[in-house]
Amino acid sequence: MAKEAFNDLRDIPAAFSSREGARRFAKQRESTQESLSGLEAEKLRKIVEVLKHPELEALIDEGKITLGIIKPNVNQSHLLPDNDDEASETILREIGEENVVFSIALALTRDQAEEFYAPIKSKYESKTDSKTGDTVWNLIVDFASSGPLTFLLIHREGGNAVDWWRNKMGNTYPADADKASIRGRFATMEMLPNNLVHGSDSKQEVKREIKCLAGFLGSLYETGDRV
Amino acid sequence: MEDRIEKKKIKIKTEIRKLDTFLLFLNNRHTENLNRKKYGKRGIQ
Repeated sequence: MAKEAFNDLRDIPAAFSSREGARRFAKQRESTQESLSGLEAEKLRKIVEVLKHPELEALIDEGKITLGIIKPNVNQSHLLPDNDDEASETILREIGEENVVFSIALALTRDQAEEFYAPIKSKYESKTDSKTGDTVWNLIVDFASSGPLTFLLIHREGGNAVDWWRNKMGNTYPADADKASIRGRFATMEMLPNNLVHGSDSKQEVKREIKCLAGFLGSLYETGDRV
Repeated sequence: MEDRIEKKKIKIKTEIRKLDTFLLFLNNRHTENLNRKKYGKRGIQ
């Protein structure tokens, strides 16, 4: 055991063997932390910390937390800006900054999209889309992995976060959505399956979806990939 | 270009501060709940 510890010590970088080296290392670390990628990595680390925090589950049980998504290519809506980032920002402003703990953009692989939407697979894998002839399940998963999504953690101090967000999104079908809702204002029937936003439909789903997101982000963090 | 990067950095720093505030809120709640379990209904007086 002592021998192993000694071997570990021998692997410490040379920077630590002189004060000048340590100074250089600290300076380099400071500039990395201040760089855009350093800040993004810090944001990602803190998001994963929030998602894995033991108290988050209690907040979900109290109805104060839900998960929202701004779907890919929201600039398909002619009622939103042409630039996808700006279109997504417009939706984010509609939700209200005070209700969002964090937002993070992430492009899902097809496998990740399948994992995320797994609970609705049985409902849609036997339904066929009349326009394309493909199954509705394939359309949903292809669309979900067709571009970056923005994940949002929504916090409502007063509770009923799931219902609040579902009302704010509006009906799944834009034609039936309340005119004041996000889908009612910005989505059209021609855009389907892109109805701009997604929301968990129950506290159990919030927990499952948050676990999925923590897994997707955690693997990015561990491999050091940037988002 | 430089200006755009600086703006983006400021935006991310603001987001990090927001996350720090939320983490502090979660940590405080967690400590309170643990104390309540350990010392009874009213926690530490």
